[in-house]
Amino acid sequence: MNGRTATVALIVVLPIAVALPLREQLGYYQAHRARETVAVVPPGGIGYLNHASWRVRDVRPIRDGVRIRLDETALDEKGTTASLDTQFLVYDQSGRSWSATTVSGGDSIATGLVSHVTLRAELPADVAGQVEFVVRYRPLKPVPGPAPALRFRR
Amino acid sequence: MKAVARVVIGLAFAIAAIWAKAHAPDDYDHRYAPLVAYGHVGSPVTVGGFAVKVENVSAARSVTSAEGEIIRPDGVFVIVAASARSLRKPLSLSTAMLRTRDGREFRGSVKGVTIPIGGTLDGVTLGPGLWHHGVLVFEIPPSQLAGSTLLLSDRFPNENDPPSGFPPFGFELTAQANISLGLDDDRARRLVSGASEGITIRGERT
Repeated sequence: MNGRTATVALIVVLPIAVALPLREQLGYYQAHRARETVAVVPPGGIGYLNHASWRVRDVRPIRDGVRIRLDETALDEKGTTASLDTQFLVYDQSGRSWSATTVSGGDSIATGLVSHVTLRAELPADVAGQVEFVVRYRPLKPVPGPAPALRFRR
Repeated sequence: MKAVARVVIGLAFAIAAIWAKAHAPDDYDHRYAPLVAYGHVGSPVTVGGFAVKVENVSAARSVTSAEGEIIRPDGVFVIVAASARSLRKPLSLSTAMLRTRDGREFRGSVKGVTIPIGGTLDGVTLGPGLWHHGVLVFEIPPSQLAGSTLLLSDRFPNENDPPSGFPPFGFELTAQANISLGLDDDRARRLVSGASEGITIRGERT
């Protein structure tokens, strides 16, 4: 084997030897990356998620954050425990998020029955007037495919 | 002359290969070690999705639960006062440990007391733009205190030993703050000898 053959072999083999493991790792990352499908709900509108319908009545700034008043209605039997698998957040326009915790109310106790839920999120005062409320489906045992979420416009 | 050049180039490649092999991480723990940011008391440390600042370190010979019960440690309680915040999304400092000079790790706890969520800094949910102030409590033998560092991470440790199931097993490639408490032998001795009584921690006896 002369020098030229060796050089050509090196030029061919080296990129393949480096690229193949990288491609495999990238595939693993892509397969395990969290994906989300966000449905945007207009002000006053109703969104459907995890066997329940959700409607935001208002998002109001309070002393140390915001208060969210929400109507949740179970659409079937599973919807009576819908909030066990959901995560409540508020997002500002730059994508930062804060968790919202339930202050009063809970899942509707029967199909079709509206439950009034009040939540509270602690956040800086300068973003209290702009944050949007988000409900995310976050089951304990992950399911295949993108996770659904509702984003409520103000 | 040409033959000499080839030998030199060949040797250079061989040396480079040996160097690369010697310096490349060769085991799982090494390759996937936590991504650590180092700091010390008084300086904020930003790592991964959170920032933390240790403000003060003190010691206590006892803590008093919310019910008024006085709890005494086998060693000494180390109380770390700190502030923390997240940068982008809600998270908790799920793991808080003291690592001693010889590599032992002590998980944050108060003997026999369950700290409710929000009772200590590692139990609160942090949000962007909001500094939460709180304490972290460790029980540690006084002789181990000198040279200890505080480790903080937003991931729960894997409790299985040996680890089972799929990765991640522990703290692979996770952000970790490693904060020196500035305790040399003399300072550690003075901290223990000056340990106070009866710091109140909200909690319930189990």
